[in-house]
This record gives sequence, C-alpha cells and structure tokens, in this order.
Amino acid sequence: MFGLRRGLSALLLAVALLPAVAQAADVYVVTATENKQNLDLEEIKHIFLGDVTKWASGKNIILAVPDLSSPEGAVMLEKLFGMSAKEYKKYWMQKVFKGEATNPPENKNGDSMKQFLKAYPDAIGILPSSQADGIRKVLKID
Amino acid sequence: MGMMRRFRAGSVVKAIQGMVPLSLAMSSSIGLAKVDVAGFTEMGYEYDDKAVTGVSRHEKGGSFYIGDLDLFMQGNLGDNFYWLSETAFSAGTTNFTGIDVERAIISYKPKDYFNVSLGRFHTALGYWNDTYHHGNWLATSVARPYIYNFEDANGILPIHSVGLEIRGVFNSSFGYIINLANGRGATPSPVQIASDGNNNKAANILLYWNTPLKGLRVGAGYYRDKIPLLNADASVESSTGGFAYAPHNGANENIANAHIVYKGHNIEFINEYHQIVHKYDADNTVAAQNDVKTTVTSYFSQLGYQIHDVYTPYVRTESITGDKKSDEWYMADAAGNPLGKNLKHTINSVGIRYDLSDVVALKFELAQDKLSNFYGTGYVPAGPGGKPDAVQPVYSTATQTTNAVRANVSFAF
Repeated sequence: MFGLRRGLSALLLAVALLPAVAQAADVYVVTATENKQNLDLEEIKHIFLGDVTKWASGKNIILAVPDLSSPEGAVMLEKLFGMSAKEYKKYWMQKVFKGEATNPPENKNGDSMKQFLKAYPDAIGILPSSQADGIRKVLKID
Repeated sequence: MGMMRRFRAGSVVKAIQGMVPLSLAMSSSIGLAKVDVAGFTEMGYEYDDKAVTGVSRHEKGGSFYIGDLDLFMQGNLGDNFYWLSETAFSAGTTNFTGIDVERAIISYKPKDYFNVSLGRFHTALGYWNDTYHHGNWLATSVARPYIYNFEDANGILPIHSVGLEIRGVFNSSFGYIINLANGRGATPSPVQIASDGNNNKAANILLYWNTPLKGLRVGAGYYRDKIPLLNADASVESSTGGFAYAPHNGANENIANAHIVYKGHNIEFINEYHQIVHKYDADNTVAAQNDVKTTVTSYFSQLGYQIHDVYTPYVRTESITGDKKSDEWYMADAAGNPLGKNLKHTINSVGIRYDLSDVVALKFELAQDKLSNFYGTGYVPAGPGGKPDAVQPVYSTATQTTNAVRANVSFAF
C-alpha cells in the first residue's frame, strides 16, 4: 500500500513537471532574419559569454538572454555554460568591471524578447520554439 | 545609427539588469552617450599581533577600517569607441583619504582580436592584476596576494601603467595583451601619470591560452623598463615639484611572469609566478656599468572550493625571496627601506567567503606572515651622548612572525 502511494506520488510529480521539461527541451537560439551566419554550439557559447562580440560582417552582436529562472534560462545555463545563475551573473559582472563587456546581454522574456529580436537585426537571443516563429532559428538546444 | 547608439550606450551594465541591482544609468537629453555608474567597496576589521611594515594596518592590535570606495563608469561612444574610468577613494593607514584615478581609458574595438586603448590601465603582469582590479568583492580572499599590493601600499610590481594597450583574443582561446607605457619612476609610488622621468618606455607582453579543458588558462609574460634613478642628492624635490632624476643613469628592470589558473567544477585554483630583475650601476656614474644585479622571485597559489553556491573555503600560500644582494636603489618598502639580501617572506592564509546575496559577500581570513633577512627602520646613535640622530635602515636576519585575523563585508553596487 505504501509502495503504491509512493509510486503514485512520483507519477503525479512527473506529470506536474512534464510541461516545464518539454518546454525546456525545445529551446532555440534565434537571430533576426537579416543575419545569415551559421553558428555551431561552441560559437554560440562564446557569443553568449561575450568572448565573440562581432558578426562576420563586423557589426556588433547584440545579446539578449532570458530570465535565468525561466525554463529556457535554465537550459541556457546548463547546456550552454554549465554554470549556475549565480556564476553567470558574477561572470558578467567581472567582464563588465574588466572593461571587456562591450556588448553585454539585455534581459528579455517571451514577447519582449521576440520584439527585441525583430527590432534589432544584429541581435541574438534565446526563445522557446513555440514563440520563435517568424525569426530565423540558428540552433536547437536540447 | 542615432537610435542604435543610444540603445547601445545604455546597455553596458544593463547586461545584468534584472539579475543584480548593479548600475545607475545617467543619460543626456542632448544625445550624448549614457553613462553607467557602478562600484565596489568593502569595510571590515583586522587584528595583527604585531606590526610588520606593509602587512599591518597599524602598529599592533585591531582596527575597523573602510576599504577602497571604487567608482566605476563606462560608456559606449559609438562607432566601436568605448570609454571606462575607475576612481578609488582609499583610506590610508594614516587615516587620510586619498583619491586615485585607477583606470581612465578610451578604447577602439573594431575586432575581437584587435582592441587598442589609451590611458591609465592595470599592467598585464599576470592573471590577478587584469582580472580583479580594485574590486575586493570579485576576489575570493580578503587580502590581495602580497606581490600584487598597489604601488602606494608597499607594492613591488608596476601595477598601474599610463600609455597604450593593444589586446585581443583569437578564436576565443588565444589572447594577447601588449602595453607600451611610461613605466616606473624613481620610486614605486606615485605612478608616472603625466610626466615620465626618462624617455625610455616600458614594454610589456602577456600571452595566454584558454585551453580546451574548460576553465583552464595558462599564460606567460615579460615586462621591460628602464627606471630613472634618483641623483645622489635628489632627496629634495626639484623646483618643478618632481624629483631631480639623474640624467645619465638608470636601472634596467625585467619582470618575467607565468600563471596557471583553473576555474570550474566549483574549484578556483590560481597559481602565479613572478621574477623581478634589476640591473644598475652601483656608483651611478656617467659611465654606467650596470654591475649590480638583484633578483626577487615570487609565487603564490590559491585554492578555493565553492559549496552550495555560497560558501567558499580557501587557502593561499605566498613566497617572496631575494638573492644575495639587497635592492637598495629601488625596491623600498613603505618605510623607505630596501628589500633585504637573502630576503625570505612567506604568507600563509586560510579563510572562507560566504555570499550573503548576489552582490554582498562576508569574508573571514587568518593569515601568518613570516619575514626574514629584512631591513627595518632603526635609530643610529651619533656623538658621545649616543642620542638618536638619524633614521636608517637596519638589517636583521631574525624571523619576524605576524598573525592576522581579517574579516570584511564587500559588495558591488
């Protein structure tokens, strides 16, 4: 009886977490359509860490990152950087104070991220696939 | 471009907007670039069981203190031009507050592999100096490594430079920094910010490699300068307010450095090595022979491990040793004493950092400082009465041990 209850609890927990997991698994790195540059995972990682600040065209890369506590933010931290949210913040603060953060990321979410990416042709950001229609998708992170 | 420029200019510390309450952005309504203001400071308590020049904040005992109040501003001027300034208000051991423009830089950054800057910057002498700057909060430990003490705090490295800097990174892995600067003056402090004591410029290069093993960086560098030495009778200031330099002589300074740093898997492991060589003419004559060579060698290792994202216990060991000759010309400590021949200086520290919030850290540190073969300030008796007549360096081969307890709260704002 006790085992059945525990199994049921686990099942309910899994069902409760399912949307978040599914959403987190469908995360895209997207750029505005004007940018045709192909990027692999390693290049994207360096872009979001501010190591690469220019597109091949020479224009500044404008970064936009999701809320670190959002599902796509969690995927970005884990899959791209292997950092905790705290480490990521400290990383950027250090970069800012070193004078290296010439194009640090804007913090955008959902619709505001989408609007931002549409408004700035040289921007790159991270969106769930369900919200990434109409914007050029570079890479799926899963 | 106008709209874009305003947007870019305001974005500098907005990087982490929503993540940390870091900056105050000020903008002009007439189209000038926005200014992002941020900063660091620390305040704390230090107890030393005895005084050692350059180590203690006081003769003996404990003191509350306020550390550097570091104001940081930077902005995007558009068209790949950027500017940055860092001004520190520092409380000295004499209880007076000094103001220093620690960094003031204008940069042109057209490519990731080519950035050129002009102004006052932190000399690329290794890892620490180019990473933590004046931000105590950024570093894990309470105190800086002794070798990286600032010029006006008994430092023996040219921490700051005024001149030109070229830097860049290839493929996000191979980095270089080249400095061409005024170099040092006849004394470690002040930094030659507006007037170079000679026409020789200091040249410095640092190369580093962010290895494929994530978090592991290795690097090495070399610094070369010719230091203008004081005339024998130049203990008084010249009519122009500066010291009168010997026109014909100087010391060659060569600093080699190397570092291996690993940051990953909650581990912070910093290892740095420096060797400072001075060559000069003992007689300071016109026919300089550079017959005196002194070498000071330093290393430190710091190991920290972060637990539960907030606790970081750490240990650090440091060593500074001198060769058989004392560097009487240049490497004076804060009391004006030369570094001793066969100098042995070791500092061992153990501490813990506790992150109270995203931008506030509480740190606690115990340190033991052992100094052997050093010059201290002593009174030399003169005349039959034997009364103190002059303060002179007195060489001691004894080992002086100081134990210190330090605690501080540091934060970014």
